[in-house]
Amino acid sequence: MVLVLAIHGELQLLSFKIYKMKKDIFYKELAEYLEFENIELKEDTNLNSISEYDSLAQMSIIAFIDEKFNIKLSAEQLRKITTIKSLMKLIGINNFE
Amino acid sequence: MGTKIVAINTYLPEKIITNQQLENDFKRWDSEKIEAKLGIRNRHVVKDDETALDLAYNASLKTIKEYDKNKIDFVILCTQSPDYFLPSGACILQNKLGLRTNIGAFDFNLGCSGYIYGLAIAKGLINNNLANSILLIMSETYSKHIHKKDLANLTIFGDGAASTIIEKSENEHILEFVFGTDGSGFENLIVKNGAFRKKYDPNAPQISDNSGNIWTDNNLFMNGPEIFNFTIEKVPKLVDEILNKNEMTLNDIDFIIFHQANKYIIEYLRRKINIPKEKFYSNMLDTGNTVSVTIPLALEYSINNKIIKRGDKVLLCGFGVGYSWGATIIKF
Repeated sequence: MVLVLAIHGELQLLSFKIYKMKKDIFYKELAEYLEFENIELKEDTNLNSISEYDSLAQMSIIAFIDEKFNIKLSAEQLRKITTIKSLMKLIGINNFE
Repeated sequence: MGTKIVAINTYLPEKIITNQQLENDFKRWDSEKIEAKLGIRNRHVVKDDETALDLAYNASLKTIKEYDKNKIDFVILCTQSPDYFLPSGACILQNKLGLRTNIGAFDFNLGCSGYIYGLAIAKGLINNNLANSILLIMSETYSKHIHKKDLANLTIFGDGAASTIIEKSENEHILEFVFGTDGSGFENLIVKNGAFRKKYDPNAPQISDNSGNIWTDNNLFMNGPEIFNFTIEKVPKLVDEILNKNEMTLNDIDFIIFHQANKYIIEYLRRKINIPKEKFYSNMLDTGNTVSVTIPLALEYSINNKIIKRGDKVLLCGFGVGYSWGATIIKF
């Protein structure tokens, strides 16, 4: 049973944590997660200027950051997000390449 | 000796609010997007003159139609929208349902974890020879707490009630439990005014967020992001703990029911924990998040539709307001 649990734990780690992410992939995958139609995300895109950026979108951001970086964003941090770059700073610039 | 669930019945109020109605009223909601993302299309809500005790009564009536009410020797009601500060709603139900008077009755106050705690209390009472047949009722009318302009919470929550009979049985069917509490998050899901720390304030100032939701301190407030963070952190651990406590792995479990918070959250948790889709209940389409009622609603549906069969081991997981969480495994 211990072995099974260990394998289970490992799989979880593999699928839910990567260490460095290419910026282009980050923009692309975040946009897919957010399901914004016809909006391309770039470093200087201001999320607050996108009408679809609502509490549902914030939920997606929390899930995305947890899944890809294993980082929890507090409500306070979420409120302060403006551009995609500000989100990347919260995640930690060294998580990107 | 042990304990066993022998009946589950639910009752939903007649009035329904559809996504389309919300879209029409608020003009800033896409009903299809809401259904796709939150997994909710309709929610039942009480009328002004209808209360949690009415729902509890109706759910219990269904139960005593099929179960000898003279066997019931304990009534336990879980609600966070009580009819009165005092007395306990369970005492009023004893009389309204025509139950014996030589029985126990009390209320307890928990939200989304309530059903797990109710089962634990029932198991404890029976296994200590304090009761033989317990009527456990979850009844919730969060709609009464929600501000009429708080679209986010109006969308998510629905009202409802569930009554369960837990009986003494030859073998134990309600297996081990795990509980958790972290009161540091109490302000993230709260109705601040109305009791004695802060009285109901008819002139309470309106508060709004940048999505345009409006509420006051007299109403339900939910800090969505923080609640989501709490579930992401606690629920995977909770599942591990309840499996360990029962010396099982996910492979031993036939079906898993989480509190139906919303589809997005529980689907995310399912993927994070690596639970196979076919073992996982996800359905709040026509009820919304009914707080402590979601788990018995899911059980009733799954039993009626033969998704849960005799002998199945079902893992139940409740988590939310408090923060409070708990899990158990039921052998059907």
